Amino acid sequence: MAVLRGRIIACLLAFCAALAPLGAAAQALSSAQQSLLSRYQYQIKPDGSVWAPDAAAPLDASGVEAALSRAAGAQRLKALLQVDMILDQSGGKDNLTPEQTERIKDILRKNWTYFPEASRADISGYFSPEELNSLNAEAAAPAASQAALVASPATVPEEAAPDAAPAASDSSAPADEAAVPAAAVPVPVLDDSPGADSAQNLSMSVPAQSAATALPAAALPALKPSPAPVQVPQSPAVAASAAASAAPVPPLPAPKPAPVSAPPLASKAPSAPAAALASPVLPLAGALHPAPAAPMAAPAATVVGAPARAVQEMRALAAGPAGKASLGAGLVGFQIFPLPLPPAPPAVSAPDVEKLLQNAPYTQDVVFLLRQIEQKAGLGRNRALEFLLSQIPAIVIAPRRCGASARGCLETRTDARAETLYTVVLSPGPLLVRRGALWFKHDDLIPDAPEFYSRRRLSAPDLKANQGDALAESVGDGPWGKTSVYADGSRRGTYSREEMAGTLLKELLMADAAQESWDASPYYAQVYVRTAQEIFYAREAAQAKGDDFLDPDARLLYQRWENDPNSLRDELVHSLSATRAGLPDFLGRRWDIPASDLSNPTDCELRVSAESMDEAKARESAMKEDAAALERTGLITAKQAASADEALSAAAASFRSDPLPAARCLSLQQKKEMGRRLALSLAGRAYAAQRKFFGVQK
Amino acid sequence: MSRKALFIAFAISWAAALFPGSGRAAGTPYSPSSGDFSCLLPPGWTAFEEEGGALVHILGPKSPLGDYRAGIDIEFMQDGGAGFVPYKKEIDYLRNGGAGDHVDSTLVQALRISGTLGRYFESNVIRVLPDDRLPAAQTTLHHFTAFVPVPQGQSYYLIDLSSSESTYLNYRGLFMEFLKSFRARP
Repeated sequence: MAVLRGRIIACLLAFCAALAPLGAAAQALSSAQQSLLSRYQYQIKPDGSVWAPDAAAPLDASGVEAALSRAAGAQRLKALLQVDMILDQSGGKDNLTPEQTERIKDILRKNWTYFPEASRADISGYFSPEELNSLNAEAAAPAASQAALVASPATVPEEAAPDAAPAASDSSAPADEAAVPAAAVPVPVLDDSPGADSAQNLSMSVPAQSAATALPAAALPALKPSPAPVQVPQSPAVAASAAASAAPVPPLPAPKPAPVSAPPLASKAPSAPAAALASPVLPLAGALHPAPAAPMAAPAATVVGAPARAVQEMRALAAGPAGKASLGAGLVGFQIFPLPLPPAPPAVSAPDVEKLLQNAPYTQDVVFLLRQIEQKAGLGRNRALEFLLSQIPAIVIAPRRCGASARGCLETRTDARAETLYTVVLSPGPLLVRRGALWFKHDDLIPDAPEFYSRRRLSAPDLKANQGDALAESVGDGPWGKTSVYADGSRRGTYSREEMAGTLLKELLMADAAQESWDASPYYAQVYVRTAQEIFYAREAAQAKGDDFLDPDARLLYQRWENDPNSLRDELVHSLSATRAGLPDFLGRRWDIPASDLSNPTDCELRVSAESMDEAKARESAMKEDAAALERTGLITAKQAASADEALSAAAASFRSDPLPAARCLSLQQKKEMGRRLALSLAGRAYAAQRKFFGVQK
Repeated sequence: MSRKALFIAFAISWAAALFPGSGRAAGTPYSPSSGDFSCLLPPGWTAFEEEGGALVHILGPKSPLGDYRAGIDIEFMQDGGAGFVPYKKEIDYLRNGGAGDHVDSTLVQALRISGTLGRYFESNVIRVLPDDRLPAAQTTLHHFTAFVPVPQGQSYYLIDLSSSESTYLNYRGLFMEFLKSFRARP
């Protein structure tokens, strides 16, 4: 699978890089090449001239060669995506059914000509030696033909896809007419009907140097497709959410007066792509994007129905240093919005998890928590466990590490190879301070991490319950679990293991959100994560025959959710939009940028800079409110709070947003936009899962 | 125009300015995409909807304590839908809470909303706020909850204004105006 993904990246890069003129002499076209060009809407006139779609003049020799290269690259990529989609459906190469194996072989057989030898070695496992010999013999033809069909090795940077670097290095396997009969591979047609085989829904459009590309730049944005609908099979709720993701987001709390009515979410889903989808052949991307006038013009590929991994790789291409290095300025126009959202992660089997638990360096307590998740989590189980298996994050149960988070948090750091390492920290119990008198005593929850105070320019209060070596005066059960009471009145409660398992589930999902960028919409991400958590608690409660394992506030929220599931959303809206959440925009709407705006780097930089400032201000406000809240507990004085306020204001005033390089800025926007859509889709899944859960329960 | 008429006109406009609720309700007309209901948004409040209008949140100003934002949540409870709870049972739960909850509530009163006989009550719920963030303290949240039945079946709208106890009086009149403007689609 990894090799296949590498191949996809290599194909993408080669495909993109092939936009540059090759400069080689035109060659006489074989019937296979003519068939290939025809498949992508090029016209071959009786006099032998080749015309790009809607072009006013025939292509010259180098244009023909480039067109062949692009078409071959598109064909390769399409084949690999089809194969990857089947592998996704089966859950891996080892789980392929005979029918699926045959479908893969058929796809590879039809496109064998377009694969260089190095790539063939990686996909040869599907064929017997006899079949391989036959395929290779059929593909043995003049090298000159292959040169036009395979990208130059120089166009594929090794750092972009190390395991795929040889993909374009072979020039000895030429095209064969018999291998690709004109009728063998139908013209790519998009079929978005519900019953259509998703593997057949792939359709590649090839950027062409057509007359349409000569449109004035100002007119181009209007021609760009709107965000495409989700192609993966989904529940109606998910589909509605996904459709909503492409629609203008409803009004957000903002200084502006409220709009008269919120833009519709479901009923008026964008229909802009509908015209393109209704067309038997996807419109050529060249007609939708700026012309590849410059040598490094944008690779304007439009992929519909690509599988999850391909989407991820494309996103990585757009966002990561590899994509940046290989595409350079061409990234500016890289259009990935029509990509579908990835489908739900595959089911993670219990043996896989058990194998990890036996080998990973987790404590017995953590192993217990993970087993609880594996056995009892419903919504989010596979996503959380998939993250666990793929990243193997450190998981620790430790006090004084979680800053402003009450029950658990996620720590991230970047290693020397620029990879993000995740550590999930679970709080063993809250630090409590009792206030009030007589019958009106109540416990306040106090931050125990020194970092919390230092970041707010405060000194941590000296509480014995927050000193590791202090001895408790008494220990007893209380509303916050087994509670140790210290001489100064401070207390340390204990979260139950069941509640900690729910917190761990939440943090694993948030880690996945951070990795996949679906935390770009904090509200919808929380809807998914918290619904998953409540469903997990419901299963725990069913087994424990009660919800006593939850702390008082978590129990209240759980009971409200159980009585009215949507009350959780109300709660999240009111909490995340409050000042102390520290979010300038809890819906993440700031990333809902029309695709047309993405071609303007200046706008992007300004926007990102303004958003960074907004985020800094929101954080500053939240920290000031934290200090004020601490003052209300009596643990710091008004003077200390005022001093902290002043220091935070000074720090905020000196905050400057570093300008991002244009390409990085745009890729960041695209990544955030994809993440926001994924969050919307996941919120839809949460809604559907919730309905299903209560449909069964009630 | 005589001086007397001018004086009367001035007096009327002055009275209207002093008692904005006494005349035509102020606010921005709003209806979700489903068109299932319409209402007037309080000035300065903003709405967003989920699930095609089945769930609408109308957010008000931020709370002085910064831990909870006042707002009105409108949910359509579909008779026979998954998780549907008859409104009497829902009222009972919201007024009394679950085991271990600290809920104080008023009696349920009748109110004409959207041309039908609705119900409303007030309740105080003790919470630890903000949610999942430190420092957190016990806070009393005030809920002003109204039920608007629709003619067919047992479906109803659950309209809830929640805010911190210290500020709820600021919104009481505003919420009554909002309920007056609420119209469910027949």
